[in-house]
Amino acid sequence: MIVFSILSHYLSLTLSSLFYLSLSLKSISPPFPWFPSHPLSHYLFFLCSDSIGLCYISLLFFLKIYYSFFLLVLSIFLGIFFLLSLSLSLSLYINLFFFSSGSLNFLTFSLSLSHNLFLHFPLWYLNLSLSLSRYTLLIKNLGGNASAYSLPGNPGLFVPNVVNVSLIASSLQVKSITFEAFLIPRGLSGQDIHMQCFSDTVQNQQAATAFFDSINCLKKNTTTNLGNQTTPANFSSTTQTTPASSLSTTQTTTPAISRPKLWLINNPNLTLTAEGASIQLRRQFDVKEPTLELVAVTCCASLTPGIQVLRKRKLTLSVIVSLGPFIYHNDSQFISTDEIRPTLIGNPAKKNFANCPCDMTWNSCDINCCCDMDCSPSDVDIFSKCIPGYQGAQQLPPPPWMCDSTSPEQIPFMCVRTKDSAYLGLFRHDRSTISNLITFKTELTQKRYSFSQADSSNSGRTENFNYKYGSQIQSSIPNIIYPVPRLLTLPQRTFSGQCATTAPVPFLINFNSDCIYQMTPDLCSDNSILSATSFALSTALRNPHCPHAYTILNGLEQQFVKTEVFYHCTSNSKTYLKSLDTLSDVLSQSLESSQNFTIPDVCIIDSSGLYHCPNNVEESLSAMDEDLPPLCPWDDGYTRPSDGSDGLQKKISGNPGYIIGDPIWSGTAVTNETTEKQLYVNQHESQQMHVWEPSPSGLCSLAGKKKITFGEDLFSSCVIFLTQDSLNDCQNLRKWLFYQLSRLMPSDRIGRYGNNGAQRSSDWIKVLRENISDQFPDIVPVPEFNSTNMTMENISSTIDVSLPWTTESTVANNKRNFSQGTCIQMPTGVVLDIMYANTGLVQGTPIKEIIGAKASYVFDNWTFTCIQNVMVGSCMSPSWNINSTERYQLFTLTSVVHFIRVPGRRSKPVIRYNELPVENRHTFDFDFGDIFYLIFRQPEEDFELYMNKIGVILVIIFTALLSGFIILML
Amino acid sequence: MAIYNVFSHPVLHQYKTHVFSKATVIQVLTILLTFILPLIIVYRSDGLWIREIRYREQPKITFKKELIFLLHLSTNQSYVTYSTFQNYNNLQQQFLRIPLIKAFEEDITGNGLSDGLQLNLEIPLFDSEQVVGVEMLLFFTYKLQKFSSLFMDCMAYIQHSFAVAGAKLQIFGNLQIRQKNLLLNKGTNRKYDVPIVDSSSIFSDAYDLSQILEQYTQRNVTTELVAPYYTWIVGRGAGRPFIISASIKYPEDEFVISVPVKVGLGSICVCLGAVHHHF
Repeated sequence: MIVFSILSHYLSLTLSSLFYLSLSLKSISPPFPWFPSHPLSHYLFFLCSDSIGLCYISLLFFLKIYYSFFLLVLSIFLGIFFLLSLSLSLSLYINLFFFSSGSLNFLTFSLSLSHNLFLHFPLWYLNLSLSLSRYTLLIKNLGGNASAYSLPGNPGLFVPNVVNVSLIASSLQVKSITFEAFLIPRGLSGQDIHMQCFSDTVQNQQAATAFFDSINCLKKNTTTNLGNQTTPANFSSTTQTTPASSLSTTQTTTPAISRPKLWLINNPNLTLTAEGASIQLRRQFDVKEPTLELVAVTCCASLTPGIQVLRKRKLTLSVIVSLGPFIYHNDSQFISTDEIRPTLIGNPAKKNFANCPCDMTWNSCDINCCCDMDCSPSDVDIFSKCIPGYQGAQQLPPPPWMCDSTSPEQIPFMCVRTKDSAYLGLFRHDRSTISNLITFKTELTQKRYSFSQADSSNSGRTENFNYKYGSQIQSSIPNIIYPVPRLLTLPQRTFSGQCATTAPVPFLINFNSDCIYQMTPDLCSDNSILSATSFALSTALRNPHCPHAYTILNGLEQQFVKTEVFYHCTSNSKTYLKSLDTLSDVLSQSLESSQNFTIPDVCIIDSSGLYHCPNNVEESLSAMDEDLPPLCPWDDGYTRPSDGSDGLQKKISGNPGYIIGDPIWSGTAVTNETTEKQLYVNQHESQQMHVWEPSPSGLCSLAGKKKITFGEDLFSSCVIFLTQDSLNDCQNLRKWLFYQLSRLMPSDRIGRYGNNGAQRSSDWIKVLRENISDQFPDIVPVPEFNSTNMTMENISSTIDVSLPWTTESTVANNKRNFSQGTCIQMPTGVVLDIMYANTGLVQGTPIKEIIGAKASYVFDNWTFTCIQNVMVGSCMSPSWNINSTERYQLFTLTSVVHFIRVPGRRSKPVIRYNELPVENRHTFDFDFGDIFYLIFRQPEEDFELYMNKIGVILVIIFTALLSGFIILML
Repeated sequence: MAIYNVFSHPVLHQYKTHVFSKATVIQVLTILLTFILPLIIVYRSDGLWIREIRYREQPKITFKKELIFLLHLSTNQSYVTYSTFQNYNNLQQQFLRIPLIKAFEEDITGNGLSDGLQLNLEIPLFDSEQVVGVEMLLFFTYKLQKFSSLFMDCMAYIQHSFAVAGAKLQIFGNLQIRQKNLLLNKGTNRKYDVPIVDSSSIFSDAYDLSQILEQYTQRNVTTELVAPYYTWIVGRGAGRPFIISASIKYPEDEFVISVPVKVGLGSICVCLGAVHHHF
């Protein structure tokens, strides 16, 4: 505490001496911008200008007060911080140390800390506030000494016998035939001044000055009784000399001498009191056409004893009056159509606007509105009635008990309502109309959302730009004079499958789209969607034949680039038109033909049950997706590049790792017969891995083949319909099934990466297959022992197909006739397991590499159960041939692809509790990692969050240390 | 001369009184207030005991590669259907339609737990068949690890129909838990670790949707597809299959469990410590 007070004293001393120095060097009225606008500062300035000693003392006190305020705020903040850290450490304690006995010390420590704080804190406060009040008292006493000082005000010289009177018109641009002018005296008290006023119409400002000069106030004072409406003779003579004005038509038509005055003052002789006075001017005649007049008004003050009128006794005023012929003048009121506007009343909370609710128009008399200040008494006289009404906007609905009929002059059964409420109704703020564009725009910008259709196509289309990933592609016609760039488009689906005909094609994004169109004659026109000229043509094709076709522009230079486009035409429109086939139609056509279970002779089976066929064996199961029609006849081959079978670039499925969803690459290795060295991998379509792509009928003979895509588990199947005869020949059927499944997954190599070189043998891994020769010795040949590949397969063939079946099955195969219509150990499906792993990163993207693959057959027992008069689920008799007694039973061939990621996840260091079985282990049971939860980064935590956490921990530690240190000091 | 402290010792004051005295009354009142007033405050504030706590965990959800779907066709109330259960397929002889199934579960966060399923079904259809409605059941396994081990089979029910024949149905949703009562705070719960559909049954009622759903909703812990959004793409081309594409996320979920004993013990320890310090 002692150290603290010494510190504070020293600090205040330093600060105040600095302050004093700066003040004595230059006497500036606001010394510092941060100096508080406190009443004390006035005293301070006074003192400092007077006595240096007093100034120093007061400065010291002043600064001390602020300094103690600062200390108070600081201590409050410190207390809050300390409480925060205390609670956090308490929660930490609860979470971490409730089991350990030593932690009680920690708790005691925290509690004692808080105890000390709470005990000491009020004392601080008390101490500070006491000293504060003492200082304040002192300052007040000092201020009492300085009471002679008065703050400077506006100096107003007050001379009692000088009066200043000004004459002001209600408006300098009068547009009505009446207006008012005000006489405002200043310095008049008690006595009245008699005034006499004159007016006339003049042509210009010089004429007005002449008119003013012509009025001699001293002289007029004697001729006050000359008459109200007539002007002095000398004045009319001066106006006579002025030339005829083109503006004032009335003036030119009237004779000069006996010219009646246009503007008359209603009250030319008036008495000016201290409150002021007003004169009303009124035009005698209506106008017939637009008129611009200058009305001069002058007033003379009579000499009054005891009052000295400043400058001169004459007051002058000239007013421009512009009048239009459309002014409607009706007896006592007039309405100018372009000047009617609502009365602005201001904020009803602050202004009593309801003194005249029927005053609806500004500056004009409303009919039957007796309280309208614009109406003259003569107007009021001719009103038929005064509009009644409450002084408010809305009536209060009378309560039902107020309805009585005690009034004798009313009809007894009528309801008479009396109102005695002070409620004036509900008011709203008036809203001025928007008259200029700036106000309108500021009002507009406050509303952010409005219905609009932003035209983004113009904003996105720039003339010169480089193509980026996803940007639009421009095309144009080369040989015309004014080529208009056009976006390259393709019909694409949008929103919910609807086709947009002119959807732009994004740069560097591969996609395919399909659309559905109604077959109409319009499709055969030049502009139809099927016309190649609507899209873009190859450069080679366009140049001689079709000069007005669109071609692609490169981005920046707007040059035409060499383009190759492939259009495929079909003469067989059947596959593109919706057919009306049904299931029975398809079955009737293809069921009989699917009963042919023969295998081409050239194909040979190996020990793993895989049939190897030469490439020239025509693929019976054509892949549906890859089967594009031939190129169009008008595309006569000029565009066809020499290399590549289809003119298409070889696609890759990622570089180097696979991209999930892209097709995997597979093939069969072609080896040199003599050296047994792998030459290359045959990646022909027939040698690649596939799964069934089932047709609507489900028949295997009609099923297509679908490429395997990386990362996606695939499952599909197809059905074969078998008769009992087919099942009687199990051997042949089994061979045929092996053949079918082999053709589906014929590859023995799978590409490790998304881009594999056919010649690089390291890019390919072998597809492991089980040796099934001991199960089916009659079909599958026994492997030779000298082959290294086969021994590898032997090792890998940990057969999950049940081994105990093996011997029995061979026996059963040998004696297959013991049960008609039952075949055991039939290959009913093929399973391809592919293992992949993340083996490194390329620019932050993990490389997904296939590290292993295994193909295996699934075996099942097939029994024909569809004998006559037994209807089991999978039976079918051909309904299209009622006479047929043949019955078919449905059997399924499956194809499965399973991707396994190894290792499944990042391996964690194994600690003892992790060795418990998974079911009995829970994260919150006894996890030592929880203790350091705050310090160590959690696996699911991102780095930014972790840094925040560390920052919070540091702040807590720091504040705890700081507050503990401060408390110890105190 | 400098003064220094030679010796110091504390002075013990003892205040004694009779049993029947004002001091005794005050002493008794103080003790009573020390114990009863906090009790009242605690009881009136939010109950004396915490009975349940919430915590968050990402469950380990795995698609079992089992599903049943049924497409409603517009013609003659016909339909096509398929399941991964052989016995069901045997029942649906002429209405069976074999799809191509693609499934992909991705672990985006790299914590060893799948974060979502991308399922793609291509169902081949004749051009004359027009799909107007889809019903589908997807089966998952569900695993919790943090407090208690919960092992269960769960499912997502997808049902959507449209007046116009479609070409593709896309589903976007989250698979989230729906618990009716508190989960355990320790131990293992394997009550619902049984298949929802008895695939070994050859009887039709095992695959009756109403029965499956009824039995499923009677369970205490189920999952549901929360906030499923459907897009129904119309316009199926000639020879194109009907595609069901489901994107189902497995988000971190909130669970309510009964209070573990150790939490209660911890708070009692704190109370005792405070009382101990007070005296």
